[in-house]
Amino acid sequence: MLQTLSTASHLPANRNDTRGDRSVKARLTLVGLAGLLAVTSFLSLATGASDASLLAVIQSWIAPLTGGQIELSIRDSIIIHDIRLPRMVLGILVGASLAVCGATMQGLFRNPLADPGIVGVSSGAALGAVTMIVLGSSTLAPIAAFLGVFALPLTAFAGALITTLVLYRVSTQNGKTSVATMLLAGIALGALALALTGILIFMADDQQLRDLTFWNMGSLAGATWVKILAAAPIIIVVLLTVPFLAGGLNAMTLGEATARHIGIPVQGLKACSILVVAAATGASVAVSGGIGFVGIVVPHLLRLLIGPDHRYLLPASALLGASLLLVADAIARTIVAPAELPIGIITALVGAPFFLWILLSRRGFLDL
Amino acid sequence: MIEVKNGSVQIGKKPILSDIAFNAMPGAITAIIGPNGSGKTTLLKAISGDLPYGGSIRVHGREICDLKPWEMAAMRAVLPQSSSLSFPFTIREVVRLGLTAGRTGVSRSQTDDIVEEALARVDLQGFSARFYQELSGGEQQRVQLARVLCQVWHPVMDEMPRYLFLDEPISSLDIRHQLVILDIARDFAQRGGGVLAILHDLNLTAMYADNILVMHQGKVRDFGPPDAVLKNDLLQSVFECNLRVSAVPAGNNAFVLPQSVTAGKIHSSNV
Repeated sequence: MLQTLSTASHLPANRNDTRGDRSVKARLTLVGLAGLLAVTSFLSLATGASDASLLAVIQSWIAPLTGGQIELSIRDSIIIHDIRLPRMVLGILVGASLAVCGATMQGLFRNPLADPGIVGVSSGAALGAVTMIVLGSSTLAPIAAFLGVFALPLTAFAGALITTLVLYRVSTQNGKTSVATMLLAGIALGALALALTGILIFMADDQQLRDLTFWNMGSLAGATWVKILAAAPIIIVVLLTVPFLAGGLNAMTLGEATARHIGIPVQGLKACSILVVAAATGASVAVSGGIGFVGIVVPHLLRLLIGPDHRYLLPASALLGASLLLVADAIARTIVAPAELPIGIITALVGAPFFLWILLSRRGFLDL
Repeated sequence: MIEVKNGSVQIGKKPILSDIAFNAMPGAITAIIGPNGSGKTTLLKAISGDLPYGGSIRVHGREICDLKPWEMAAMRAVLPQSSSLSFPFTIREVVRLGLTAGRTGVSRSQTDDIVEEALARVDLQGFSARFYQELSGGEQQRVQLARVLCQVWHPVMDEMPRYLFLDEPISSLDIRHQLVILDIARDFAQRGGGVLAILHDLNLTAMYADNILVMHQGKVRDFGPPDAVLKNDLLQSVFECNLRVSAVPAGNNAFVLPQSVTAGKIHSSNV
């Protein structure tokens, strides 16, 4: 059949392995990706607009252990400890969160193009955050004061959760979720959230507008320990939860009915996946804005490499997502130094053509 | 035993099935036959736990709407009419999915061997590294059967007979593999499990089924062993065509009736 021939061409080749078991390769890949993350983390600490020397910092860390004492210049110390280190940590958290959310949603929707950015969850989170940025000093001032540093992440989480719940309500009937309806409803909800965000932007003053523009394109700039404190608990809980969904998501590959026949409590799996994705997306969007395409590019590359088994795909996505975002961030802050590009521009420049390539290579394959 | 009493299914306000009553015994193949749209698949879905139903459907005395998905999975495996796969898993990975969830009665160390043996049973040795999407429709159907077989690898687990639900398991297969698959079903029943299969080929149904459930317009038209059920009058009125049971057709038309898979690697590995 013509269709069969054309599908074979984009399937990953592993003819060497006669048994079709990719778990060893997947484990090795996980180790490799952990090593890669160590390298990119180091790169993230070492690069930047200033010439602060990472080497000096490391010497100052190690010196007390060997009895020596090396004084670090206050400027270098601040740059490394209070600017680059939180930025690195935030990059790891957000990158891992974006990629894992993408992989989880794709498994849930049985579609490699599903992503929180596409079904409107990110837009909902952004609406929540923008509401707080624009109205936080006026109408919502009491709430903003009460929530303190958590105001932005919590409103973004609320936005993501409300979007997801409406999405779920619209597309679920008699306990069954229609993926097609959910994708289409996601487009409508995304558009609605965008329109409401537009109204808020129209109301914003000049300073807020500057904040919004930068934030809207996504950036890790302005990473602080306070922001990390606000986002990290949510993201870490999510990263620890998703491995428990892996077996269910694997079974979902065969379809909802078959997954249930195998013994997966499908409705519970769906509810849990949706909650987890909403929480992590809300937290990520609140601290770094809308950084697109990481959730699509990373899982897709990994599926080509180690196959679609979620037991390996999810942790591998977390590691590669973190690395990718650190590299993108390093580029973003050095390419036009001393100024910096919003990281969302970098990920979109790479990710959007990649997205089109996925579409092109899967054309006529699955019903997308 | 599977007991259906006064079973009914409505989709929206439209009644699809009504007054369904029959028992499917372990140790036997129960075939469901009937024309297109007579409710065969709906019935199998209801018994699989996919649809809300009226009346009573019990497996081993337990009403299936009260059972959790993993409890059902330990009692029966379901082969759907057709399956798509959304991500490129290898054949081996697909078959393994049958062993991943719930209580399968198979230990982790046996997994690899059982996957290989299940593939050998459906005549797909050496296919384990191929990708599911590369295979033909008939081969995909057999991969799915291997996965389903893994889920209920032991036809009897903890003294509880288990069931295979097969929705048109041989519709896209060549004549040899139709026999291979039905031999697997017969073997499963002989080892104490139960098989409930929707079949279209009346000759093969007569050869393999212990009991036949004839569906017509959402109701049970007849239920019993092949000798009692496969009668000219009943089949003519249910299928609305002229046919004759156990009679050579008039004229010189050739006709081909399968007998058995030749005594070779496949047949011997099934027994």
